[in-house]
Amino acid sequence: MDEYTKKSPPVVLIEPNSRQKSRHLAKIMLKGEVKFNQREIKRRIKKIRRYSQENMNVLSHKFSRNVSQYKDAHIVFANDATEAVDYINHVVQDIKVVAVGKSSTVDELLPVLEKGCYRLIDSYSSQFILPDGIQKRINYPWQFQSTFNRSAWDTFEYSRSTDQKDLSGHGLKDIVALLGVNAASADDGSLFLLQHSNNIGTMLRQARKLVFVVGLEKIVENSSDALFQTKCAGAFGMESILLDLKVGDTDKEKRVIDPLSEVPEVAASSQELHIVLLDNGRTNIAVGDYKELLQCIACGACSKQCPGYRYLKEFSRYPKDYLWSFLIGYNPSIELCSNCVMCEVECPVDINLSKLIAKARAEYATGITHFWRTRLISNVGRFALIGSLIPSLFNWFSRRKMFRLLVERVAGIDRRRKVPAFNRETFEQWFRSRHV
Amino acid sequence: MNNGFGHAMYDSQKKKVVYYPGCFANYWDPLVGRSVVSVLEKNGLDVIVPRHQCCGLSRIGCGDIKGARKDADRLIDILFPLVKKGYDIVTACPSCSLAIKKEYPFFVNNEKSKLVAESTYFLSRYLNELYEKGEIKMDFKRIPLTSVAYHAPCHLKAQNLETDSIKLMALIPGLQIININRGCCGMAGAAGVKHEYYESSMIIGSALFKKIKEINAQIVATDCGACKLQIEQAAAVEVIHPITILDKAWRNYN
Repeated sequence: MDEYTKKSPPVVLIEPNSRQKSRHLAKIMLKGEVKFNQREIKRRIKKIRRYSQENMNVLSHKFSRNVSQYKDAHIVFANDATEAVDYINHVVQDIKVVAVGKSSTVDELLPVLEKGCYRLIDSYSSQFILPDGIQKRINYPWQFQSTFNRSAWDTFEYSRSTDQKDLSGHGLKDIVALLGVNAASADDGSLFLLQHSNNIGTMLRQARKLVFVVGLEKIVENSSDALFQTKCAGAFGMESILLDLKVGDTDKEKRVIDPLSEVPEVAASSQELHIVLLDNGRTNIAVGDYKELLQCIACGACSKQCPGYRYLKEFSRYPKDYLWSFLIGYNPSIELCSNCVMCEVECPVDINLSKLIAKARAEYATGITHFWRTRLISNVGRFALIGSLIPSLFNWFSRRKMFRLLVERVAGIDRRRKVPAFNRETFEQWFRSRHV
Repeated sequence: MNNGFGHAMYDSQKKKVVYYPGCFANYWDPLVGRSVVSVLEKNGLDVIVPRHQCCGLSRIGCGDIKGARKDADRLIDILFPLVKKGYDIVTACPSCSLAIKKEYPFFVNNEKSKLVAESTYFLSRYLNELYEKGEIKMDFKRIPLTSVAYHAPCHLKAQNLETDSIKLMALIPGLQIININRGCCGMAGAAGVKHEYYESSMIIGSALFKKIKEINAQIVATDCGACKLQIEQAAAVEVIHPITILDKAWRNYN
């Protein structure tokens, strides 16, 4: 039990190994030589994820038991966002600034967090300046090819580990850092974080109090699995980071300065380390139809080819998050998904996201427009059968403005949409007549 | 049991295929269906077409899983006996192929659906495979077209089939194929039809339409009916199914 003579669990930061990280990122995107056995990597990450989904309860117990053996680490279990924020408020006390990393787990707390009387700082969007070469290519994310087959895997290295020694640093600031973790190891309580530039490293170094939010599903068996999982999130999610920047481009005010550098230093002797184990509906999801979602490694690969990505950004970080936030209850609708299935193609752990969204839609969708729409659009087969019986009449109707307006009002089919004309003879009729 | 294909002749020498047209080809674009039958028969395959039944994918998209399961069950009941008799199922509609191969095993998930999914092929892949095995010959003639721009529908990419139609069309002498490669057209099945998504559907597809205008394509080929509608409306070019081009090349229009 040598581990536990230390005062706090190890915090491991995984990042691209380059001094000029954003430039390096661009280089990898455009060229690179190393090839990897993607299939082998996918097999291992899928195994890890399935195990941690199936044993979520056991792993989370083990994790909290092990963490509580560290003298200086505080761990608390939160049933929902309100409980988690209550604890965070208790930690924050009189500190005025809470810095938040880019994390979908922390996002779950945001609606409640925003009510607090402190300044929330997005430490993520402020840190990137995009090289020109990449700026243009972001418009066509599907052209990135897979960076994975180039050298993304190689790029993410095991970079820094803070133990007790690092926690008592100089230059601490009056900041609470609120960070989501990419993976946590049940074995020794170590926490793994991924960063692409330097915001998390800065927060880890400078914040007087560190609060790690651990989603229950992020806990894996041991630290080697946790390291692997974090690397996967980095490598598979490469392109989506760039997409993220592109979308983030629109709200300029977030990107002007790095607000953390404005906060003055304080004379504090050591950092505090808090861990919030967040349930927030996870145990319910684990026993239901959507338990597959718990296998997600939060890499964001599903956003890479998502046609509606820029629209669902409003509610969530990436397509999986879109469904997740709907199930948890802070996103009002999942109507934006078009079921094009590209997310399933990209997903490294093969989550049937498009099908799960369809399922959720079937379960929760209501309303009169939905009723008629299901009968018109979804019932293409029967609708077309009727149309083809009297094609000329139907085609005449579909050209009338009033009729189109009526259909728009009743069934929500846009009046500007050109409806294809029916033929006098269906293919089936032609085929049968040919053989008489 | 009569599935409405009583004319089928059982010739043990001939390879037997079921052509499943899907709603779009059946009701709105029968020309595609005719071309498919003509191409398959020219290659000496025995083609039958069962009674038409919607595959139910649009229902899945609208969130009507119950109805989709009913549709799926009906279609599987039609196709399963044919698979048992040794027929391969071929469809030229990317969405129907996706439904049968990927969605049925998830939503229906029984032995029948799995067997049907395994014996269903997307037309271009099927022809490519037969060609590689040397079972069909692709002696195309020149056609008046010199170049065609190809748009790969999302539902083909989802099945890893996005290059098959290009490969097929590349066999036509003197025809240059431009892969547009600008992502989704925005229609996304039935989503772009809905009132609240009309505008966003046009924005999503804007990169594609811009590229089509840029390369000044004579004609755009795509496998998907929904993509066809969207591109025809937004980019104002003629859009046809690759199989129609192949059929023309066979008939020697010169």
